Amino acid sequence: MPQGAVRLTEVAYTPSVLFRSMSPDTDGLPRLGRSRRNLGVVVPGDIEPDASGEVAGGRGGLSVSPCSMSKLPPHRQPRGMRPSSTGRRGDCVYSLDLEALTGSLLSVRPDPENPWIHALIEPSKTMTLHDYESALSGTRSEWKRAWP
Amino acid sequence: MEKGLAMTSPRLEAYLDLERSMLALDELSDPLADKLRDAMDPIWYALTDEERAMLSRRELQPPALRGTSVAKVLRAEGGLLPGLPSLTTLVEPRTTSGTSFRADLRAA
Repeated sequence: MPQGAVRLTEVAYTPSVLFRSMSPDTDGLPRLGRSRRNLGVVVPGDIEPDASGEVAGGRGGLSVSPCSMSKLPPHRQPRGMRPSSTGRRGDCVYSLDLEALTGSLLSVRPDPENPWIHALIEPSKTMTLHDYESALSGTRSEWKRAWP
Repeated sequence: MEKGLAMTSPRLEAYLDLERSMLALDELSDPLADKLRDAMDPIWYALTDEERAMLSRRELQPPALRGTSVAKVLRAEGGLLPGLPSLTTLVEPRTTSGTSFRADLRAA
């Protein structure tokens, strides 16, 4: 793979934008933290480090919805977004252009069971959990508010 | 079979039950609501396309969450989970845009 390329495995499509519902921090950007309502992964749960504390692609990551925020589960859509939304009131939907991951230690893998509605931002190679979480945190300024 | 839902499955029922409990806890600002929300993720992705489409077409009508204190409802029902009416009694599927969600999936 060329240096700096965004790796897409099991490609059924190429999402150009990814969506995730998160709590806004005081600066309006997504809050960091190990929660499914923050920019971060639950460990263990979202990703499982191996015995040496390392993580790798294909083993889970940050859950996102590709292409459209309407593909977020209703319980992740902040209340008021749609008539069926049951997510936390006050949360926001953020979008991330896939280009923002170019050159990072992150890659996007569509969920093989639900490739049209779910994807994961994963480590692009074997790395420490700390490096993976730092890479995720490094995308913080790239997330744009899509709703409200 | 619950009124208003054409078909149900154990997974769909589980999703709806968790959703109802999650909404009740949300109204009380109970942090456990997020635990239930997290538990709903794998169930959502394990539902069929049709079940997800049906859930996404709903217009929530939560009378228990609108005017009445949720705590009062919970006390009246004798607890959080066992005595609560099924969430399916609190929601009505919208029937006027039946194919919009699937169309969206196909177009993506």
